Amino acid sequence: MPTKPNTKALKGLIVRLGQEPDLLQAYSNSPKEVMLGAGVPSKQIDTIMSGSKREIENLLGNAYFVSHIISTTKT
Amino acid sequence: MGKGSIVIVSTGMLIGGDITVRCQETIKQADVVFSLMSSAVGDSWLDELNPNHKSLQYLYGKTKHRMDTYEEMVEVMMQEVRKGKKVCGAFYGHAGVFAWAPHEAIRVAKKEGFEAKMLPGVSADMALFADLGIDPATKGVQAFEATQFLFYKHQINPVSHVILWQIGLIGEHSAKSFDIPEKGPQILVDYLSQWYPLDHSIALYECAVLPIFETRIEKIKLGDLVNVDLNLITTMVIEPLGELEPNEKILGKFGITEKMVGSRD
Repeated sequence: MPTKPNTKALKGLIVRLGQEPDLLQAYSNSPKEVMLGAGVPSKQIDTIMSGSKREIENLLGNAYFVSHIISTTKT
Repeated sequence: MGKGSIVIVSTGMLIGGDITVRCQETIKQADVVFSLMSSAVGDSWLDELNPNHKSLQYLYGKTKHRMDTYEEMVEVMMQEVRKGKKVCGAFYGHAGVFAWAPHEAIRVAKKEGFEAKMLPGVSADMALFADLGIDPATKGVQAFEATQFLFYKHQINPVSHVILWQIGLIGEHSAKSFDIPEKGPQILVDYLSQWYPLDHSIALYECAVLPIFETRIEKIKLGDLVNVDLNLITTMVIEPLGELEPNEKILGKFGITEKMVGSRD
């Protein structure tokens, strides 16, 4: 069984991107550099740079997420 | 140990960025935090804010009735309240918008004599007002859960914007499935055609919950709804059709004409 990658640095960076507009702007200009600076491992950077939403969701561990509170039609 | 309490907080749409100060402080100060986030990134973020954080994701099941899941969520949180803990329930978006469990947790806690309240946050419709440039004050906004809109006799006012939530589950009636019934979009288009022409403009909206993803804003014609991808998070927005019609009778009661409304003269 493959070991689960440690995504702490990546997840921490994503949270900061949502909090710091300047960092988000820097990321928009040079995502690779910002990720390197935040200590994200190169393999994970490659996944993000691939743009594949499916692979990125897998890397982040979102695959198992129902992710939405679905309202039933009538309760 | 003090008397238990529960505060339901809203964490907003964009993880880490949309939360209010008081919601974040409530998370930090709680004895235990239960959550339903839109991404595992959200869980990691809450772990950092409060090490006594537990996700409620595990209560979902593929073929489980959603009301069973929601009732279990309430019970899991209430068990800690009854132990005298200061409990925080953290829900993404606005905890009280399209979310039964947070409201029910508050109802149950109050009924049992505990302190309980909810703190608001940024929901998908609040985000889309910003992203799509819609001001509800301009022509009004109607909003319906898409399946309920079809199953019950809601009336549309085409002059206003109309928001249909959970379009990706249109026609799903079992509350056990997360798949869209094949016929759903076509039935919706047919039904809406009593108010709108098929070439009327609609927008499909999916708010990005992580800043590394783009928000989906796809403008299409109503008739093309059957040909596009719909997801659990897709919200549909129907553009207004026609102009506001003055209510002469009411204007007369105020002794004014429509021309006088908001006039600079």
